[in-house]
Amino acid sequence: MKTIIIVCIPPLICLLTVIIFYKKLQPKWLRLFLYLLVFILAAEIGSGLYSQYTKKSNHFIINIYLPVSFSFYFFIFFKTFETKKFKIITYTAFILYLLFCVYDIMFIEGFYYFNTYSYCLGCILIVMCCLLYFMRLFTSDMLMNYFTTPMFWITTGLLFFFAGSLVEMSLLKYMISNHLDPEGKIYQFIMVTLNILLYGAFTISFLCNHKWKKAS
Amino acid sequence: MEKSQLIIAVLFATAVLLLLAFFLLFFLVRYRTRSNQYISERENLQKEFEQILMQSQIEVQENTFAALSMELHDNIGQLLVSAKALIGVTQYNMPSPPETLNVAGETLGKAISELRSLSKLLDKEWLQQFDFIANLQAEVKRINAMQTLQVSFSHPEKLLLQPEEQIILFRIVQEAIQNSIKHSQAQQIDINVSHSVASLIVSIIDNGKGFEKDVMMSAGLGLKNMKHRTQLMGGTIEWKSSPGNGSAVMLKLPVKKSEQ
Repeated sequence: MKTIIIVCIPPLICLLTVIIFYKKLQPKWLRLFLYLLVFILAAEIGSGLYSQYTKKSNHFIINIYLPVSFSFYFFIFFKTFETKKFKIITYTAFILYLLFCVYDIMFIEGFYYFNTYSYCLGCILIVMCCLLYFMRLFTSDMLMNYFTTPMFWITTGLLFFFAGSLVEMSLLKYMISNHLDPEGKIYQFIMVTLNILLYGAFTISFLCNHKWKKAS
Repeated sequence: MEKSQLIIAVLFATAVLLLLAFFLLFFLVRYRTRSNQYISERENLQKEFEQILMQSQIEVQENTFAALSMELHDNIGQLLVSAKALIGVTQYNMPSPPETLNVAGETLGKAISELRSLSKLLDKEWLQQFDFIANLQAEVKRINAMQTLQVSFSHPEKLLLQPEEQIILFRIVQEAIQNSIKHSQAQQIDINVSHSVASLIVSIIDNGKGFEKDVMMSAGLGLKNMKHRTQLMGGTIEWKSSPGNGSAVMLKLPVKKSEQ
């Protein structure tokens, strides 16, 4: 129960921020985070409670939850990129990820085991999108303040989260099968830290918009 | 590999990746700060250059106006005065001069008077002696005297602008009036000048035939000059019109604290 609470606090704070500032969120697609965060919280709480009360693996819930959240992140990059080239890259990455998810479930790891391969591929592709976004910022000839740009914070959170979780997740299966982290403390430490970074960055992105801050 | 070694390796690799991400962001933010500074400097230089360019264009135009004013007054004006004197002599020498000659004499008198007014309005030195309100009142009086259309002018007691700014504003309003007379077939033009908190609001509204926005976009030098002149004073200008509903020019100029 304690773990569920710890894991849920950062997205809960983030969700409350979205609810409070819902009408003022700009660009408007930021409002979609409300649905994502409700979904994430439902999945986190649901999977935690399921495993606690049934003493069974909750990986199948995670296998549903991850493709949805990854798809959402691909969607926001797709909305953010203005050039056709970057949009095509994002779209291709999204299709590639989805196809691999299906392949992983059907032929490699199955539906009831955590799909580490598709998670790692998703991580790499999202990190690639983050780098594309930063490249766009780097080459931009416009006068801009990163700290008042919501997408800068979202991308920062995603980069830290997915770059940070890549090593742990890619070795997760090996660590579980060899009982290297039997109580899951290392896993919890890394994931809670990264969760705080991710949802902290998301929360800042909802609060940083200079225009409405001035207007309110 | 031992258990603890692998855990350390995982933590170390995670930390390295996070550090890499941190350095990437640090570098990006640092680069952007410098880049913003450079872009801002470049934009300021561009603005400055445009202002200097506009200023010199206006100076050239003012000089041309001054030369034209001198030419009207000293050359054409003198020729007309001579012609009027000759008519006067003819009238004096004829026992009963024909009515047409009397009318010609009166018309010539009016023409001389109009020419003098026009010459004054083009003369920058003359403009500097008077304020915007006095100049525009004279211009309104001159147009109303033609009896082709009616111009009304409402204004505050004093205008909070520097003399050179008043000249620029005068040229803008002059251009707007000329546009209404030449293109809109207006019967009535209302000029309103008022002060708000930190700005001067000028509106020139006519009841003419109006125009489409596309026509406005492809407008000639006159409207561009109005826009440039307004920008030079740090203000904004806006045109509102639609076919059959007249047109309005709305000007908003900042008023400096020292002028208040």
